[in-house]
Amino acid sequence: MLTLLIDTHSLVINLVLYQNQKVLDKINYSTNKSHSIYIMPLIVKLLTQNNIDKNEIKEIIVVNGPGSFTGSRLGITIAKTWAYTKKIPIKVISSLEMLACSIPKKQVKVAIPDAKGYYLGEFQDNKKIKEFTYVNGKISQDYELEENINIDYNKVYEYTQNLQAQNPHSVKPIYIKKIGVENDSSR
Amino acid sequence: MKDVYILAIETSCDETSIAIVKNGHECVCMNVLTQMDTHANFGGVVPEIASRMHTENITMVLDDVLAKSKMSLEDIDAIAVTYAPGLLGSLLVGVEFAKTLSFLYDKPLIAVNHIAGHIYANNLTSNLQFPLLALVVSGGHTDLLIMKKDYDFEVLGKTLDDAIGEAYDKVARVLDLKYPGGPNVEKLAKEGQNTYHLGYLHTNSYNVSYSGLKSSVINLVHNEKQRGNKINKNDLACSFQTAAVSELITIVKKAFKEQKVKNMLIAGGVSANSYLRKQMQSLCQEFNVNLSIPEFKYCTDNAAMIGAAAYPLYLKKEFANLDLNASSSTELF
Repeated sequence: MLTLLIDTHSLVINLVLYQNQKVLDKINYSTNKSHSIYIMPLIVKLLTQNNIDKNEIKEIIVVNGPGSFTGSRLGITIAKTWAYTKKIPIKVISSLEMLACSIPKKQVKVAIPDAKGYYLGEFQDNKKIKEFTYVNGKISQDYELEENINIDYNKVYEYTQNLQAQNPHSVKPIYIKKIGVENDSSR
Repeated sequence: MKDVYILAIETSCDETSIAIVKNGHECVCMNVLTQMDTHANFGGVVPEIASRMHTENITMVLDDVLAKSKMSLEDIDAIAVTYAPGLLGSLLVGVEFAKTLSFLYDKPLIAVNHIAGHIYANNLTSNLQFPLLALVVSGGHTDLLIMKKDYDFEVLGKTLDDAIGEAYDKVARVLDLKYPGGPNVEKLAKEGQNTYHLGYLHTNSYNVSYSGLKSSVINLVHNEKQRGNKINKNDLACSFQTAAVSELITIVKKAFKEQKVKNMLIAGGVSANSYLRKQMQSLCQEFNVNLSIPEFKYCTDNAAMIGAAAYPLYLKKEFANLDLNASSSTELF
């Protein structure tokens, strides 16, 4: 079975093609901005270089953030549209879970930086033990930073085996960080 | 010739809309999901929230259109999408969605300019007859154009500052009216009379200016408040509207006298304003010009107009690639 993983939560576009639950091929492409120009052409490239027709994809995995709002939205839009129109299962994994399951430790604290702060996640045996948060400014040293973690996509796939497929219509990014109007209304 | 069915997508602001348009003239089915109530809580469209809602709703809107039209994506000949101008984050959702459908179903992708959409909305009820004079009036545009053929836009004049819809919204704010301001100003104006003298600048060209008129309203409200006088909101709305539309009458009249056109169309959100419609109708009668105005449902943002505007591009085989990007500011002319 062929599975496509779409991860656009950061400036790097990550696309992974799985065959029978193992990584067959992947593309990691760094962009400055304008994900929109690159994502679809890169998906075409990944399928073409493996001689795979789009209709052979039987499962979609999508990363729903947290991270770049626009970036996450684009990946999610492609993934849910694909799953809905082609009637194939869609599974959703967060960027923080993806990092955590790539680290072979019982207790893991991971952090994804953005321009002003960090998205934080804490895990035990790959289970989230605290709600994800966003903090401004500095964080303690015991967090492992996204840039230092090599994502183990086979582990990621194993992790998604335990996840339920979702209704494509209800798939959406997780945002966590508040935007201006939310801060205003909570005042 | 075989019938051409275009699936059109419009997400440039706060409406998630998808339509199927046949041969550029007939709206087979359309769904417009508006986010107006959500944004009303904030007094205006919040771009980030608009983008979020597009992402959440877009596949459901497609589901509805396919179910109601009893068509499948295989039956569609092309996918059209608004790529500019508008809110960037919102446009991107529609563009990515359109590209995905284009790729998955091997259908050509057509990139449509939102303003062309408003102009071609007229093809859904009548046939564009060239040469024509086009008046584009919306929250972002006040343009007077001459079109000699499809996709041939020659600018005669435009606003030197604020767009007419923007002026309506600002006046609405001064009068403490709720979002969306423009239609609410029109409602009050219907109940009022043109009693306030508002100072503003008439240019002797095809250009218009709305910042002077807007300031005049703001100053008047401010001064009356300081003096402790009550303002008759209905009369002020009516006075503003009369002045705003008379600006347009002036430039259109000038065009009728100087340009050889026998056809005219109005496009854009403000073309839903019934006072403007009536004034233009009587002006066109006076000059014996055919006037085309879109139906109310095609005046505000909708996907059917995008399907109508995509059709000439389909015939010319002007297709976009999967690296299509959205743009907040790309102008048509």
